Order: sequence, then structure tokens, then C-alpha cells
Amino acid sequence: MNRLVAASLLALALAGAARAQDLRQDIDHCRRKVYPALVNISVVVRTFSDGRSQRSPAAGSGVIVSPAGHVLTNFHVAGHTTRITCTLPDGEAIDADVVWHDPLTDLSVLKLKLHARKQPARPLPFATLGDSAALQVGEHVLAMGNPLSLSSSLTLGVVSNTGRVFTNFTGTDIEELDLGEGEVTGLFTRWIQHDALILPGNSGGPLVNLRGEVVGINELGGGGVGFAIPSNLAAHVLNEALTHGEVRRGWLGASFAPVQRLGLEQGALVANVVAGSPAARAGVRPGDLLLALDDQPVVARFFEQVPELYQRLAALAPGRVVHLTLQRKGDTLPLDVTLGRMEPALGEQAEVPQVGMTLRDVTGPMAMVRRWPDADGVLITGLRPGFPFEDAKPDVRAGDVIVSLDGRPVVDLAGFHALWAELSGKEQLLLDYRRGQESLLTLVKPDRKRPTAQGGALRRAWLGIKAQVLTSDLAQALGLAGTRGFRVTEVFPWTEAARAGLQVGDVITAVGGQALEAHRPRDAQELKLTVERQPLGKPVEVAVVRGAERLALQVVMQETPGTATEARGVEVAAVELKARELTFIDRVEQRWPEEVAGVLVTEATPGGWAAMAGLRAGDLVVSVEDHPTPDPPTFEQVMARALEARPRVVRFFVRRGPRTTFVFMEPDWGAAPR
Amino acid sequence: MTRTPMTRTRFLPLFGLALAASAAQAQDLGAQAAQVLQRRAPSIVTVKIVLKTEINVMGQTQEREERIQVQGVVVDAGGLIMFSNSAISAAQLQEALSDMMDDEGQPGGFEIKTTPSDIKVVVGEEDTEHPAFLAASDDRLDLAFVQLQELGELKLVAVDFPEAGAPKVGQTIIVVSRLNEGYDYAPYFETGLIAGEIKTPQPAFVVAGQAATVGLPVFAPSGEVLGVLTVVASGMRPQGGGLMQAMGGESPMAQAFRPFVLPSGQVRAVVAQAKERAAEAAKQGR
Repeated sequence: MNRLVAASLLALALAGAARAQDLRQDIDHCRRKVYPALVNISVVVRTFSDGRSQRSPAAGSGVIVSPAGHVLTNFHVAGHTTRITCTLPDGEAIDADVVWHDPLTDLSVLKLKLHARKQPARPLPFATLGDSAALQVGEHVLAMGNPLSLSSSLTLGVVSNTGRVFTNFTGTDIEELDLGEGEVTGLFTRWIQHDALILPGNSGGPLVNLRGEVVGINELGGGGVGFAIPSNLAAHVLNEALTHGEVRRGWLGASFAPVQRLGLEQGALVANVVAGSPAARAGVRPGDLLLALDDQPVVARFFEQVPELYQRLAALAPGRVVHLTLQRKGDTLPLDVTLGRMEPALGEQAEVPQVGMTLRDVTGPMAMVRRWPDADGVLITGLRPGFPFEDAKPDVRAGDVIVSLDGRPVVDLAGFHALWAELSGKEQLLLDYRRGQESLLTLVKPDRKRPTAQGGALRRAWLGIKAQVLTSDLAQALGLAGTRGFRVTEVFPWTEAARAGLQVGDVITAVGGQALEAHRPRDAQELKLTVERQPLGKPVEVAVVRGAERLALQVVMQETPGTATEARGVEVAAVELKARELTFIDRVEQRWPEEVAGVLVTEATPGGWAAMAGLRAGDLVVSVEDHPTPDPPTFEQVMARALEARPRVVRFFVRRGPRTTFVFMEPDWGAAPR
Repeated sequence: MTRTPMTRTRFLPLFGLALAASAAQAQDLGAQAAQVLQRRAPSIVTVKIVLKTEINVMGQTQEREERIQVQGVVVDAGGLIMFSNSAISAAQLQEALSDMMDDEGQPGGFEIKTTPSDIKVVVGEEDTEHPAFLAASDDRLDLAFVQLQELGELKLVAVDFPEAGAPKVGQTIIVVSRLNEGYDYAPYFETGLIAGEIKTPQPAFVVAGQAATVGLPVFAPSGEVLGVLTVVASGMRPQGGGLMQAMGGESPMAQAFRPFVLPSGQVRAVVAQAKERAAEAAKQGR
């Protein structure tokens, strides 16, 4: 009996080991099949705030799904970016273009710039899309990606739900996901829920079954649960994007709720009809039951079935007539509806630097949510102070919609650009704009003359030293009991004080014949105030105690050194970098001798190419591409030459405090203003 | 000599007299302040500036652009306006905060940089905004100067700072200011009392009362110019306020940056320098 039990246990253990061995082999098979096609996506994200656009680096994952180099990833990874670089597991970095952004499914289709590869003919690894509809609860899946930017990582889990839909707490409505600023997604999605670990950076990476097929695109994760967009939905978006260059969707203008609570098993309850939509025009009303679509039954008993209905409607071409079979108060009602075109929730946003504004195209859904009469005009999303629109009276604010300029209608962003280019030479323009339901007028002055003169800090006499109060106790300890004044703690190099022979440790007791009375820490300003009263440019007697000696040094009173605000500046807009000439104080603080020359970076705009390369305020740019940059005009010329050549990498040699280093800047020349 | 006890009935009329005297003084001060307001308001202007502030803490920069409005005073009829430098410069704040935050001697731990631009001046209650440029600044005296780009037909009334003008401890002072655009730049006065005198870090007078709009001239009730209300940084590391601060007392930072009256003579010298700088800058800007 014991032998039988032991044998059974051994058999079970061996079977378990064999299954574990099988799983390891499957994982290894998947890894070899899909890993080569896994990409780490580095992006430059563009955000907008206070009338300006800013850039910042971000990263995510993606997967190559065609030999031509098409990559699937999330819209929340690749959308709103100015540059996309995909890095393959072997380290090869290839820039990518956008084929199609599809916020409604949170997917983006990219195309690698294969012609820019060092070996364009080299075959490109790609993964195969599997059938997500065949996925079973309990099936093993692998999440592949670059969590926390840790390249090529893999986690194992099981599918826990193949058709997850998010509803509100009370289970009465489907909740879409907000990608920010009202950009919603998930209307068509029934997510694959799994427990493979998903971390920030996994977004856009593939969810792979044990046959090595991509069955989902990972989108969300947290608390041990991950959610992936089914591959069948991704395949639809990919095919549409590759076939038509876009994903066109039919729009009915109605939203639906499941019928379970009505005690029904078939049909879908019309919960809302958008005013002015195709459904509204055809006479569809809230409360109607949709029984069939083109004579094919509609089954939306549960929330999980509602996205399928939206998919069916969206799959129909805009302009197509669809036959609805409705039930209203027990009567069957056939209706033919001509579908409209589904528009994105948000329009394109852009910065218009010359007017200090960020603007967004208005879409139908935006106008509907805000109850605007139409989708014409451009929405002001931000205004910079001191620029023409911000300066307009009566005032213009973020949230206003520009309707017309100088009597000419502004339909969209492109129209605004064209109109501004044409009208900006005028002294003033009449602006017609909408705030909520109000229609307002104001005047915008495009080219107000701004004063260019600039003064600086007022000049005063300056000694060129740092000093501490010789307190009574200190004086006694130094054997100078009763002596009042200041002990020199630092003599700045290259100053009149240094030339006159002032030394650290000297005790200054009088300046210009005026005895100093300082003997308490709070008397610290007395020396400065006394010096400031001395005549500029003239030698003044400075009475000093040096050890046992009493000296009378003649020190020429020099001007307070120029401040940073007075220093000549330079701006290289293309890489969003500002710099200025070195001041005396800069040299002294950094202990940079006079032979060290360069321009001091005062601003590397966050998200600009200079900042993204790592240049920062306080860096002294000594040379660019081996050309010395000793002053602002030379720096400007050298940068202009370097940028004209548009190299992949611009090399800066900088001093950063006591050290030197190289900074490599890699601008996206397509996106950089010239 | 017969002692006359101070009875309640005798005291009351005296108390009444004292109250009446005090009310009369208040009435006098009110009338005098109204006269000062009427006479000096034309010299008080509104300066509008776009200020960019960059705050760098341990290498992380935050940037903000905003339009600010401050009150200034015409110090030269040629278009020179004086106001508080603290409105556009963080130099004093930087010094105090660096001192508090930079304990380990690491450079660059905390930095505030401000860049003023798009300066415009509104004279009185008029609608026109006159373009101006930053002519000069003085961190120590907390004074800044802007110069109107063009005067055109504009007739400005300047406040002159006499060499000998200075307040006395106990003296009542009047400051004339203006409300912001939403209140149509209405002029109003603030009153205060010279409550003390300091010699260090520089000679100035302590103010008690409502007078708090720094950068503006301080007048005696007779209308005489005494000086300018300004921020004098103590130059010492701010000390904790302990329990008193927790109970709502003045914070150490507030104590370090309280307003003082700078005597007129000191202001006069700075105004003269600022005029020179404005002329030089205007010449260079042409």
C-alpha cells in the first residue's frame, strides 16, 4: 500500500515536473518567436500649458507586426509626440513615422523608417497576430515589454477574463477611460484581463499566447491585474490604417444600455440620442429598443455585449444607409438611417508662438459636450502674457473660441495660421469670439512696438573682497582687543583690492578716513555702506591691521561688477537654448581663470532639444563641434553653422562647475523650427 | 494748599475734552490726508509688467509667466517712474532663502531668477498703456525705475525728493497709492506712524500702521516729502518664531522683509543715478 502511495506521488511529481518543463519550453519558444520583434519606444511627448508647448521624454513598448516595419503600440505611448524612436532587442534604433493614431481604441500604428537603417536590406523580425476570440479563461499568457524602461522583459500570467468591460460602481453604465483632457477611449473594447505583471513602460507591448502569437496589446495594469486590447480589434485598426490610411467609422449618434434589467434577452435599449445626429434626424428616441441592425439581431443583454454593438455600427461606412428595427411601446418600428462619420473626441492642438497661444481644432463631440452651435472656429487652450491676444481689450481667455478675425471666418487651425500670416501686418484686428454661449468682440494689436532699451543695476563703489565683522571676542582672541572693523575673508582675484595687496586675515579698521565701528555680527553691512559712499575710480586709503603692523593701503574704488541681467545674451530658438556672456562674478564663483572662455547657459527650455541633451543652466559652453564659443556673437554664428548642417548629433564641450564634459544633442530636424 | 480730590464728576468733563481733542486731531489728519491725496495722486501711476519667474531647486526648474501690476511714482517729468524692486526681483528673497536652505554649502541648491518684460505704465485713470523699459534697479534699497519710451502729449507731475527730507519718530505719515484696474485705478491714502529708527543694516525708520505699499513716497500730513516706503532686508538669517508664530504671530520671513521708510536724501541720490542710466539706456536702445 505504502509502495502504491509512493509510486503515485512520484508519478504526480514527475507529471508536474514534466508540465513545468513543457511550460518552460513553451515560454522559451514564445520568447524566441516574439522577442526579436519587441521594441522599446522612446518618444518626445509634447504637452501644452499656459500658451506654450513643452516637450519631455517618455517611453513605452511596441511590437513589429509586419515585415515592412509596422509597429503596434498604444496611442497613450505614441500620441502627442514629436519624435518616436524604436529600439530593437539587438540595440538597433530606428525612427518611426505615424501611420495612424486611434485614440478611440488607444492604439497607434507606426512605420519604421527602414530606409534609414545601416543595412536596409537586413530582414526585419516581426510577430504574428493571433485570434484573440479564441483565447480561454485560464490560458497562460506572456506580457512582453520594457517595464520601467527595463528593456526586453517578460512576465507570465493567466487570462482571468476575456471580455472585461468597465462599469460604474452601481453597474448602471459603461465607463470609458479618459486619456487626458477629455480624450476618451474604450468604447469598442472588451479587454483581456490577466495577471501577468504590468508596470509603467509595458504599455503598448504584446500579450502573447503560448503558441507565440500576439493576442493583445497591453494597455493598463496595477494591483496584480493587467488589461490588454484584444488582437482582433488591433488587427482591424491595423488593416484599416494600412488599407485606407485611416480608420473610418460610421456614427449613429445613439448610446445603448443592456436589456437584462428589462427582463429581456435580446435587443439593446437606446439610452441617449445626440441632438442633430443621424439617429435623431431619423427619429430614434431614448427608450426605443433596437432589435436588429440590417435585419441581423442585436443582443446586448449584458454590458459586456454593448461594445460589440458599437463595433458593428462603427464598422459600417459613413454615408451608408443602415436599416434599424426598433420597438417602441410594443410596436415594431423600421427606420432607415444614413450614418454619419465618427469624429475624434478632441481636435488637434498646436502652439502658435508668434501670437503666444495654444489652439485646438474644434470637433463635433467637443461642440456637443460644450453645447456650442457648431464645430467651427478654434479653441484657445492657453495664452502667454504680453502677447497680442492676451493683451487684447476686452480680454480673451483660455476656453474662448475664435470665430472670425477681421471679419474673416476662422474654421480651423490651418485656417487660423493662413489668416494670421495674411493679417498680422495690420495695426489692429477685430476679433469675434465665443465664450460659452456669448458672442464677444475685441481688438487685437498684432505688432505692438516694444521698447528694446534696458538699463541695469545702479553702480556703486566696490572693494572686491568678502569680510566678516571683527567681533569684540574675536578681536580679543586675536590679540586685537578694542579694535573694531572687518577681517578680510576672501580677496577676489583680478580686483583693485588684490592689486593693492589686501590679504585674507587683514583687519580693515577705516575706509577713506572713516573709522569703522563694527564689533557685532549685526554690523555686517557697515563696510559695504562705507565703501559705497567713496568716490568711484579714485584711490582711497584703507587702514589695515596685519599682524603687528598697521598699514595704509591705497585701493582704487572700482564699480560693482556687472550683473547677469546686464550681460549680453543670445538665444538659439531652434534648440530652445539661451546663454549669456560670463560676468566677473561668474568667474569668481566658479574659479574659472581669465583664459577660460565660453557662454553661460541661462536657460535650456524643459523639453527642448538642448535640455533633452542634458544641457542645463550654469553650463559654460566652451565649444560646439570643436569650434570655440568665447562670446555670444561667436556662439550664435557657430550654432547657426552647426544647425545648418543638420547633423544627427551636435557635440558640445562644456564646463560644469569644476569639471568638463561632453553633451550630445540629437534634434529631430523635421520638428525643430529654423 | 487745599487738595482737591479728583471726583468722577470732575474727571468726566476732562475725559470728554480729551476725546474731543482726539477726534479733532483725527479730523485734522483726515483733512490733511485728503489734501495730500488730491495733490499727490497725479504722480502715482500703475506699472504693468510681464514677469517670468524661474525657480530652480536642486536642478529642477519651474517656470511661470504672469502679468503683475504695481504702483509707482513719477520721479522725473521726463518719464522716469520709481517702484519697489521686490516686485520684479527676487534678489533679497534669494539671499534669505539660500541662507536658510543651503546649509551644506552646495552651490546651486536654490535659485530664483526673474525676467521682467512688456512693461507698460498707466497714468492716472486713463485707458492708454504707455510702453516703458527697465531703466535701473537697486537691490539694496529695493528700488526699481522704468522709463517711458515716449512722452508724446503726456504731462507728468513728478515728486521731488529733497536732500533734507526725513521723518521723525512719532510723526504721522501718509502714503498715496492706487487701487487696481478693476477699481478704475482709484487713488487712496494709507496712514501710519514712524514708530522707531534703525541704523543697521542701513539708516531707515520703522513704520507702524496701515502704510504698507512699498516703493511709494511717504508724506508728512503737511504734504512734505519724507522718504520712500521700502523693504529693508535685515541681512541676518531669519530666526524661528517659536510658539508666538504658531499662535499667529509675525513669521521670521515677514520680520526679515518688513517695510521701512528710507529718508528722502538717500532716495534723491538714487533717482539722480537712475536718470543717468535711463538716458544711457535710451541712447543705446535707439
